[in-house]
Order: sequence, then C-alpha cells, then structure tokens
Amino acid sequence: PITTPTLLEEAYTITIDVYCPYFAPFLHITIIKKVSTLKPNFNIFSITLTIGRRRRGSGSSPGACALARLRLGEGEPAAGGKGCAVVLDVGVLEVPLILPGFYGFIGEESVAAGEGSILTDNPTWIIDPIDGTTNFVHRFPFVAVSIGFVVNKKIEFGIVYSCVEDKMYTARKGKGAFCNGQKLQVSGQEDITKSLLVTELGSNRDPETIKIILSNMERLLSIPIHGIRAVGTAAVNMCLVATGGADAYYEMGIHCWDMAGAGIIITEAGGVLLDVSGGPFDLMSRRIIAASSRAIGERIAKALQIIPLKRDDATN
Amino acid sequence: MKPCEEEEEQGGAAAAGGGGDPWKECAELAVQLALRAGQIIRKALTEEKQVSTKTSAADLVTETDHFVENLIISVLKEKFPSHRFIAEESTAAGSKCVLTDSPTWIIDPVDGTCNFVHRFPTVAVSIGFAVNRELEFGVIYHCTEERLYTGRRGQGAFCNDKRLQVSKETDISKALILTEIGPKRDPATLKLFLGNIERLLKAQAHGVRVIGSSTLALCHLAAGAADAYYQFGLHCWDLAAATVIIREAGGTVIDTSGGPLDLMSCRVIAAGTREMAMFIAQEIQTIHYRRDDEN
Repeated sequence: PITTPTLLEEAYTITIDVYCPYFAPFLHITIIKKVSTLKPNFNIFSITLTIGRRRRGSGSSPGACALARLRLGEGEPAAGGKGCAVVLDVGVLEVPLILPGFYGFIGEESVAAGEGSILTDNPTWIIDPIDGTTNFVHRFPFVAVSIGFVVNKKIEFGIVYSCVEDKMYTARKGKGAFCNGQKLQVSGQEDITKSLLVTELGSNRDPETIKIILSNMERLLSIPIHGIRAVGTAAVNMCLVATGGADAYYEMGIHCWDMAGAGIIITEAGGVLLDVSGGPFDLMSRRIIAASSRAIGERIAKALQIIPLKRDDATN
Repeated sequence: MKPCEEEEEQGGAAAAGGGGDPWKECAELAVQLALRAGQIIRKALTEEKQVSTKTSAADLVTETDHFVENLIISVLKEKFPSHRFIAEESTAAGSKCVLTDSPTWIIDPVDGTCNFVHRFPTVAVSIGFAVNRELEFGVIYHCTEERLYTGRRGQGAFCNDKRLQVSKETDISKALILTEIGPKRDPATLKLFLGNIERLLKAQAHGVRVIGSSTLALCHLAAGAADAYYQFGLHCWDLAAATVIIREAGGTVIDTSGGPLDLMSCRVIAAGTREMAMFIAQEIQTIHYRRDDEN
C-alpha cells in the first residue's frame, strides 16, 4: 500500500532533452511537480508533462503540437505553448525516475544515459514521453505518452495517452481500466484459431534477430490465427488488447518504460501478463505477452523462439 | 493539383470543355452513402456478429457486409438505373467482375471485416467510380474515427476538407511502409510474405505497419503519414477509390511488376514518389492470386 503522500515544501522541475535520432528537432519534455492539494487516495489525475518540439536554432515547426493533444485534469498548459500539457498533480516527494536512458540526460536526477535502470521497492515513475518515435517522425497517427507508477516492484497505476486519437487510457490497481471514461474489458478469447494478435517488427535490424521475429510470426500465422496487426507503438498495441479489439500482444526487445503504463491497463481490464517463456511477467526483462486469457497467452508462448536480450536492469 | 504523369494517357480530354463536373452529383451521393454506411457499421461494431468464412479461415464476412452493400447498391440503382456495379459481396455471390465503358460503381461495403469482427477500430467503407474504364472519383470513410477521404480526378484529394499531400521520400532507408497479409495463409504464401518484409527491413526501412484495412492504409499514404504501400491479394474494390485519392495527392500507384496499375490484378504498389515505388517493385517477390476478372 502507498503511504500517504507528503505535501511538498517546494515545487521542482526536471527537464529532459530528448534527442530524436532520425532528424534534427529536439523533443523537449518538462516534468513539473507542483505543490497542490493533498490527495490522500492518490488520485492520479494531476501530473504535468509538457511535450513540445523545436528545431535547433529556428523555432518550432508548424504542426509540432498537433500530435500531443490534450489534457487531463486541472491545471494550466505550459507557458510558451509550443507543446500541450497533460496536467496531473502529484503530492509525492523524491521519487526516482526511469526514463529512456539513451535519449539523453536528466537534469536533476542521476540516471545517466546508457546505464541500467535498477528497479527498487521505492515508489518509481517509469515514463516513456513518446512511445512510437518512428510513427511520430512520419506523422503516422499512433503515438502515445506512457506513464507507469511502480511501488514494491508492482505497478500501482498506469496512463497511456494516445495523442492523435485523443484516447486517454488509465488504470489504478483494483479500480478497473478505462478509456475516456469507458470501462475496458478484454475479449476473453481462449481459442487461438479465432484470435487477432498484435506485435511489432522492432527496431533491431540484425539479420539473425529479424529471422527469429519473422519465424515467430510464421509459426503463429500457420496455426492459423485470424491475423496480426502492428500499429507501431507497444503502449497503444497493449491498450488495443485491453479494449478487446485484439486478443493478445507479444514482443521481445521493448523496455520497461513501454510496458509499465499499459501493463496495469491490461490486467485491470481482465487480461494477463506473462513472460514469453510462459512463466511470470518480469518488467525489466525486455519482453512480454499481454493476453486476454491465460490460454491464449500460453499458446503464444509455445510458438515463440526467444531472442536473447540485455535486461533493463543489467549493469555494464 | 495535377494527377501523376502516368495518368496522362488515360486522362484524355475528359475534363475538357470546362463547365460543370458531369459526375458531381454521383460523387456527392457517394459521400452521403459512405457516411450513412459508416453509421450503420459503427453501431454494428458494438453488437454480436454472425461470422462466416470465404476463401480461407482468415477471409471473413458478416451480415453487415451484405446489408451495407445492398443498401448502397439499391439506392444507387434507383437513382442511376443505367449504371453498373462491381461490389465485394455480389462478386462472391457470382456476379462478374468486369469493367466496361459504362459508368461503374466499385464498392467495398466493409473494408477490414476481420477488424470489424474483433472490434479492432480500423474499418472503412470504400466507394469508387469509373467511366470509360477510367477512375473518376473515390470516397473512403473511416467509420470509427469519422474521417472522410475523397478524391476527384483533377480536383485534388481531401480528408475532412484538409488537402492531402503524399510524402516526397525517395530513400527506402527513410521509409515507413504499410502492407497487409492477404487472405491466403498456406506455407508458401507466408514464406513469400515474410520474405518480402525481410528484404525491406534489410534495406533499412524505418518500419513496416499492418493496420488490417488496405483502403485506410492507402489513405495514410495519401496523407503523407507513410511512404509506401504494397500488397498481394487485395481486390479492385479496395483499389478503385484509393487510387484516385493517392494520385490526386501527388502519389504513384503501379503494378507490383513496376508496370502500370492493373485494377483487376489483385496486387499493387503505391508510394509518394515513383523512385520509392520502383525500388519496392524490384525488391518484392510475387505472391500469386487469381485476378478479379478471372472466372
């Protein structure tokens, strides 16, 4: 159980510059924790996350804001309005942050780029400011902000905001999962031959890895199943399973910040999380099966050849 | 906005003589019907469905497909009794899929039936129109997102009144590519399908996406949200409207061999640029499907 949040004496700001590797613009994320009303039941609708976009040197490109639409809860959008704010208020102090390490440095926290992210029992934010970076760059309209909050290594709540679709997915442990206020329920499908699966090809272009990924798809398609979909973001893929629109998602190669938000959305919608081996789910393992039923999840695990991957909490 | 170069031979003098657009009324009715059909589909999406299979376990059809198609055709037949129709479910029931010079409506009542059955939200209605074997206009309606894509030959392509422009990317190593699996799932087909993806990933494409609706994937291309689309196993009723929309957005639609589009061939490559389309034509291996106009 979460301890009663303590009132902050002062607000502080964490600024992360995210370098988008495909072309010049920086993605500028400001996380502001505001002093606000004490919320003893830990109502999550109060975090400020501003996403803006600016070209190096020459001001913001038009339409930079178009992908990060809007806002949830009370609060003001960031001044200078290049981005749009998802405003949520948190009364918790000094929580560690796990952010995509390779994206850059964190101003006031000490998670250095490239080092493993160790998950402790402490309350921890696990955030992907833009899940679906390739889509973002191409303006392919599936891009999400993913926020997970973990205590004692268990996900307490999750938020996935699919910006272009303007769909806010949320879940709080024991309180159900919702999309724009509508309660979510997984499909409950147990028959793999009637299933629609979601996965991704991933960003790894190593020929051996590609071969394994494609052979896994071949094995599943041959069962047969109804089909496979790939929209380009793990968080949105998982939310589609939570809505019942697909029956399971699996992937190897993603990171904890891709799974932490949506993971609890799936379980609160009645789904299950498994490791790709069929064993228990491990948030730092770089791999996941998120299924509408254990039966479907285990059947998928049987078909998968595992890709060896460095864990998110590996050091060196 | 001018249609693409390779359209010139087909363009002819159809629009010459200025004055009114002879097919304006048809295009407007197509929009009304697409919106109405979309409403029916949106409602049916949340309800229980009776599902049957057609050519394979992955080739699904529901009573909504039939209902929507009958509705569209009956309204159009009453208004335009001399017009002809090529539509998915009528063809499955045995109608011939032959394009004559007559004004012909080419209809997919529910594109993304597998998605529809699962409540995966990517579902569309597609209405195309050809005269003298030339595609004149197209309407595609994204039923759950309520986005209406339209294209009229010589008058541009639009999504909800916003003008569409394809991507200008020529380099495969910067491309986001869309495709669909198609209905055949035998081992040889799957090997070719996945082999084609492997080749494109080896060429360092940014990514490959599959959304389950060929018409909506083609619309993403027209909007510049993706750089290329290729597929084997789609039909003329998936291509008719989208081809106009993409060409009017400045894009290229060709056959997978690199030659001109063959509407009945059940295969296509579409891209923002000719260079991109030709690269893909050289990379991918053919998956054989029976033509739409074959018996």
